[in-house]
Amino acid sequence: MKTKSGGLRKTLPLLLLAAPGLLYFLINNYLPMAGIFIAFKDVNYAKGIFGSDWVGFDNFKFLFQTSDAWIMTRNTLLYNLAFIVLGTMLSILIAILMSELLKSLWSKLFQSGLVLPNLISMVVLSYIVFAFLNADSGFINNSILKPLGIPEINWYSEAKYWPYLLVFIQLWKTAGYGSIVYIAFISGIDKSIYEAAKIDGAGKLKQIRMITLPLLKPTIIILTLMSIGRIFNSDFGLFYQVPMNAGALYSTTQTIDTYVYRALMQVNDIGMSAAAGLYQSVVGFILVMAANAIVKKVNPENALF
Amino acid sequence: MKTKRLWGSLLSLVLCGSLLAGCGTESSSSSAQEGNGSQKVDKVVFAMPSFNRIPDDISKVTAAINAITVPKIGVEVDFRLYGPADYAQKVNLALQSGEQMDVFTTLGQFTNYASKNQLYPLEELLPQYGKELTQILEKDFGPNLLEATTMDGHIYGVPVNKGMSLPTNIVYNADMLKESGLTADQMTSLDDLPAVFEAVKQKHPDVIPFGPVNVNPSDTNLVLALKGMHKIDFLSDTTGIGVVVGNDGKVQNFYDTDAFKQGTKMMRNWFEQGFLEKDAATTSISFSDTIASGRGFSFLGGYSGMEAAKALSAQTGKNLEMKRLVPYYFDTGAVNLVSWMVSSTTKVPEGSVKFLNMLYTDQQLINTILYGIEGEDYVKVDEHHVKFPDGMDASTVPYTAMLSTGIVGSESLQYQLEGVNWSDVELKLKENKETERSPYFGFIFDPSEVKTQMSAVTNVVNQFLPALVTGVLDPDVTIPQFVKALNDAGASDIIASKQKQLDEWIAQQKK
Amino acid sequence: MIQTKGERAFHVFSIVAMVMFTLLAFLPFMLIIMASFTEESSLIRNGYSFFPEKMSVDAYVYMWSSASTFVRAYGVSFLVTALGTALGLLITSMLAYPMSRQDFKYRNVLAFIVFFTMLFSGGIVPSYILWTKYFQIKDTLAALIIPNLLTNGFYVLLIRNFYKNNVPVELIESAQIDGASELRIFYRMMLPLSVPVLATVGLFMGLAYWNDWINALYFITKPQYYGIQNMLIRLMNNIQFLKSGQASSMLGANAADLPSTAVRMAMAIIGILPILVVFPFLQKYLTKGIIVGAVKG
Repeated sequence: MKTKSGGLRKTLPLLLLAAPGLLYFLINNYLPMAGIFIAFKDVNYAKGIFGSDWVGFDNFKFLFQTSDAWIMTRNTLLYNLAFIVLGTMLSILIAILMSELLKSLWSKLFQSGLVLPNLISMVVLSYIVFAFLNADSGFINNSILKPLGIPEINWYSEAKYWPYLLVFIQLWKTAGYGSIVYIAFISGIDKSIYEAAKIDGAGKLKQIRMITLPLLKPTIIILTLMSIGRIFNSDFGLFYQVPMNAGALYSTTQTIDTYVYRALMQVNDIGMSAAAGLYQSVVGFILVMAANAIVKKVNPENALF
Repeated sequence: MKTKRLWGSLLSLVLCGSLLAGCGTESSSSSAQEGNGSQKVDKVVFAMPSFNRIPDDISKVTAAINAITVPKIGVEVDFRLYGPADYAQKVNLALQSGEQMDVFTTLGQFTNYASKNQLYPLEELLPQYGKELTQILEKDFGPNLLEATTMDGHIYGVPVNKGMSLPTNIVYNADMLKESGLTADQMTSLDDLPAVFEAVKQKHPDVIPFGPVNVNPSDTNLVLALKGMHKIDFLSDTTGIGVVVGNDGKVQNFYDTDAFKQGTKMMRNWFEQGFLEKDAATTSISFSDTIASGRGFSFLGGYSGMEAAKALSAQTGKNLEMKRLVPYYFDTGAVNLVSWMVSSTTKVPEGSVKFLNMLYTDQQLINTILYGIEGEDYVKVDEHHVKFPDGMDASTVPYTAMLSTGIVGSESLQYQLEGVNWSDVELKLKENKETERSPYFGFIFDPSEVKTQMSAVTNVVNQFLPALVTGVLDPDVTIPQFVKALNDAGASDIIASKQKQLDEWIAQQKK
Repeated sequence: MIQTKGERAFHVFSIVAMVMFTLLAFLPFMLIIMASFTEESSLIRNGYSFFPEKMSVDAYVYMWSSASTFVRAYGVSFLVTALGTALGLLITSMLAYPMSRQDFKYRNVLAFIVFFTMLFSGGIVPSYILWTKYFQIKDTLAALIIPNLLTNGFYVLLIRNFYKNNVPVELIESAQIDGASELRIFYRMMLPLSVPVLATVGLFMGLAYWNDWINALYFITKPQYYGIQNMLIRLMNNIQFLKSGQASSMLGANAADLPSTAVRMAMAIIGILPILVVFPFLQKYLTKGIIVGAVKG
């Protein structure tokens, strides 16, 4: 049946289905991508964006020629690794627990609890965190440390606590939300498989290990690959607003995005900000391609492309 | 099949809807000249930041503005009003994408716009179309105000015409002061303050004597006071890298000066004695709010005239008074902070300058922009004062931009709200002429050669400065770290570049 | 259904764990609510607390004066969210389905094209020029729906994944044998079978639309098109600006009298509340299993 016309007959309708979406990506994402060249120009408004001079990699210099460069890169990478690994584990755990409780009375309440943290914006969250951590009247200092006799900590002046704090806050905000995807995919698994396993004598934990996790593998891989692509980006709100923009905490809270924002506040150069964005994109891209190649070798049908 | 039809109709509905909606709006970029019969009228886009509520519909006010500008100067104004959060974004986007944007202001950052050629040079057009403007500037400020917006002989902007001298004042809760048994006479300089703070603390143990009035990032105005005390010229930017103390012409790093060391040590003493709260460097609560809640006593602020305390009292609900402690020092940055500019891509330069001229000199125009339409948005009380119509206030009146009095036009021609003393306005203008000017007034630094270093340095300043000006970190330990980090970021390159440009400028002046 | 001891233990463990998670999730939210009902000076003096010293509805009264604006903003947000999500889901799933078919020879090309957009972007200026100059959507509802939010690589790949791994190929093959066209297979079979993932992506899209304030910032100048989050962010930013150093040097002492902290909390509540109300209705779709019975027959 695989005649040439048969081949086209099959692909054409599929292509047509895909067309609106593709068109959107073309217009919304690919056309403006031409703007990437701004990263290589010294924009002079009198000459216009197109008439300005090409300056090669000059606009990228500010990302590297500073002692902060290593710190901000290290921070961005490490935090993202922590978020990916811990976040995925936590989301899967929650998804499994939730799937267990779907029929329970409390299910609706739990589900609301999953979404709620993500709805609170980082700005508002920074006020809440401040309510807990501020040195004078903060909840932690006043209601926990003091009664226990532990001397109070000046949270916004001590950089060393913040890696733990920020990871905790990020997980709090996103783990529940991220679990929703896994819940949906778990519910897509045929229940009869579990029945069969139970009859064969498998306990809950074994069922999870043998059925749920393997069936979730494709999803886990794809989500992880996508996260790797954004490994040089960071949530500006988390790293700028929540630490209250405190200078003393820079060593553990400065990421590439916050650095660029602070740097360009004075200079306001769109060439430089375009360069920063391009830098993050290129690194993420290289890493994803590498990761995808590895996945392809091990598990070809799970690769991104 | 039903679902398919449903989707299909939904889809086409949405597409049609958006097409129609798109057709219905006026395109924002229009050609410069609009033939209006035989009369040629220039269309000028004028964007102003407003700190009041932005009304849905400003067409009435726009019409009132045009009723003044069209007959007098043949300019039709496209009046845009944006909140402060949007203003820079919208203006920049328009400039960068080639939309029409003719007359706008900086809200700081004048040098940036100038060095990127975003501004239209005005020196040829001003003598022709801006005679009244230059006259009133001279009358209200003194000679050579435009030097502060001149680079390489080109005038790129016009500073707002108002009282610009902002001496450092101590603003304090007068009731608390009295209860502690002291009077204002005991506060003559910054050094007198610790004693006052101590007395207040004794009487009110749960009150914090002092705090930063500006937050995000925290700023106690220590630097402002130091500038005035030691006559420091920041050489047109706010980083503090490359300043001149007095008139020795030597560019140095502000954070390495004795003035800074002394100032931060003083603040550190205050902090260690418990006069500031522990989170002063990172709090997001402005100290004026803390005072309003009854928990704070005082802060330092730069205010022109003598009456600012009245407005502050109204805001905080406490009886606040203020006393001047440190005089002000005019450097270029102090004056060009809010400047009005014409974009370099404008197609209507003459019209824009004509409009700019009116913006500073036509009393009717200025007050229509600020207060709206007489009778509807405001009611005149006497020659200089207005008030809101009965039963209305700033948030219920159809249109008001009264908070923008400090950023547009000429203060001498603006109406003031009832209750403001007119003689105070006159005092502010008088002090324009009396405040000491830096010998380098008019020097503007072009940072394009050291872009990378400027951005690196900004990060370092943001990192260390808030904690130092609130006394939270020990200056003896921190300042060396700070200076080293600045040098690593390229501070010396910036200083060298500034020195070079400054020397050239001084040589130019001598000619 | 006899539950083994292991099952019961797991069940109890699940409940305990989820109760803890949910408490943790709701706690800060409760704090925000309490803060919004706290009197401003009490808030500043004592910080945020579950048991405020003095309560007051001042923040809500302050916002009530702009009630009509809020209602309109809600309307805009609802409309945009509904339209955008519906349209977006349609386009996304239409694109994801061909990509999931192993016999579609362009599937990897499409996947790459789609994924690439997740990493590279030309920035706001080219986008702005494209949409305002060439498509003229400034100050229209389309400006809130189309740019950047209608779909993105993440959604496409997620739905593709679901189709690939959770819908048995046999189902599709049997439909093809029955002579169904691709379009029919898509509408009649794929869509109904993918309710959980569509609900999930729909939730993400809906939230993205609801929370978006950036499109309005760039493309809208007429206040009647502002959505609720945009309004709130503007108000909050204006308050923040007025308290900053720049403002006091420019405006002098005239910065307006604003009840800031409690109001900010009330604003946050106003932005979140509608979602919490709507979400329970959506929940059942999230966990609907697929009916695989068709294959077994």
